[in-house]
Amino acid sequence: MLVLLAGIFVVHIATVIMLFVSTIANVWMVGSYNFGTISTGLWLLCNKTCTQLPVSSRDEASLKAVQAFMILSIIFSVVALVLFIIQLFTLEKGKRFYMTGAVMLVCWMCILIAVSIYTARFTGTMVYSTNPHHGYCFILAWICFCFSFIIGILYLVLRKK
Amino acid sequence: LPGLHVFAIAFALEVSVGKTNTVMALNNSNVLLPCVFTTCMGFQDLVFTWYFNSTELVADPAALPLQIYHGKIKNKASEPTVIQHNPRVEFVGSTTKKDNNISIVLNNVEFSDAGKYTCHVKNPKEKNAQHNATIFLTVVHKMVETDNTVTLIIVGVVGGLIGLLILFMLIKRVVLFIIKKTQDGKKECLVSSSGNDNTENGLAGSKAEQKAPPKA
Repeated sequence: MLVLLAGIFVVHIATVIMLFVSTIANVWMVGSYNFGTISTGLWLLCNKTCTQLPVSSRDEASLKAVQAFMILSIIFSVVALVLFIIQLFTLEKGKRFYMTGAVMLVCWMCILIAVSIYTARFTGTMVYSTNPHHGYCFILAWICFCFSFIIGILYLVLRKK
Repeated sequence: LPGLHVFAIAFALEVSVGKTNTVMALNNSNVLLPCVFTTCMGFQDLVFTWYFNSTELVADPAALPLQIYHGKIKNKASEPTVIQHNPRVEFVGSTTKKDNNISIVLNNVEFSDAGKYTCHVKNPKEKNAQHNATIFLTVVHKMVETDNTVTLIIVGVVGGLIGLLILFMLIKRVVLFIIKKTQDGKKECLVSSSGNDNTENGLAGSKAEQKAPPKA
């Protein structure tokens, strides 16, 4: 049980790091154009230098929602990490990590909302480029989605030794 | 020691333009360019100048940097006297108060006024120590308000969750309290029907207990 708890802790830290990388790096969609490859993310559009992300007026609210919910998911995953460490020392034996699990599931909801909106609105076509495909940040976000759900459920099920 | 000497001069007279050195102004408005200087030893016959260096293309690059205000201050008790100034520049500072303020106001800014404004001060009393500070002015068509929807969404969700958590805790307390109250009522009935009366001594109660099991 202790080994399982340690493993979950490591996966939790990995999820936090992946969420940070996914939100900050601007490689959600990658495409090619006549001078090379161009990548867009949540904040900027980059090839060699980065400039403002061009977004049509009807997609502006969706982009803001994706940004907000990705940041919220980072906040909640870090809060869950801190809560887990606190509960590790203050919880009685045999009790479950309810609060940590609950916060982790809220984080999972935030990631779900963010990536769903992004997939629905922004993965069709990409400006300035042909052959758009998904970048690594998009993949990392979906991986974090799976991980956060598993970790949240495991926190709700495991008992403190 | 020459090294120490230079060090003393470099830090005795200081010119500052405030916390940020960028100023944004609306087209056709008046903009304040702040500048304050401080001295360790006081000043006498101090000379200050405002220069303008344009970042746009100008007709005559050799004329830059352009001197737009040149003034002299006798001492701390007197206000500055102007030697030369550009007609669109107005002096709004005051050196007789606590801090030595030599700010100017540029009237009716145009797009060609954008660029680098340098406030330069020379103090003869400190062996002609000089110092300057620069402000970057940009002129815009329209002032755009910063958009903070992302912040609002984040604060809204976090606040809502904290509120829900507090509400959940309160309801849990209240429900448990109500349950405890109703349970206490039921316990009173249990105490009187079991015959275990605490006012008598223990023997009477134990006798009652011994009698009860055979009947059951």
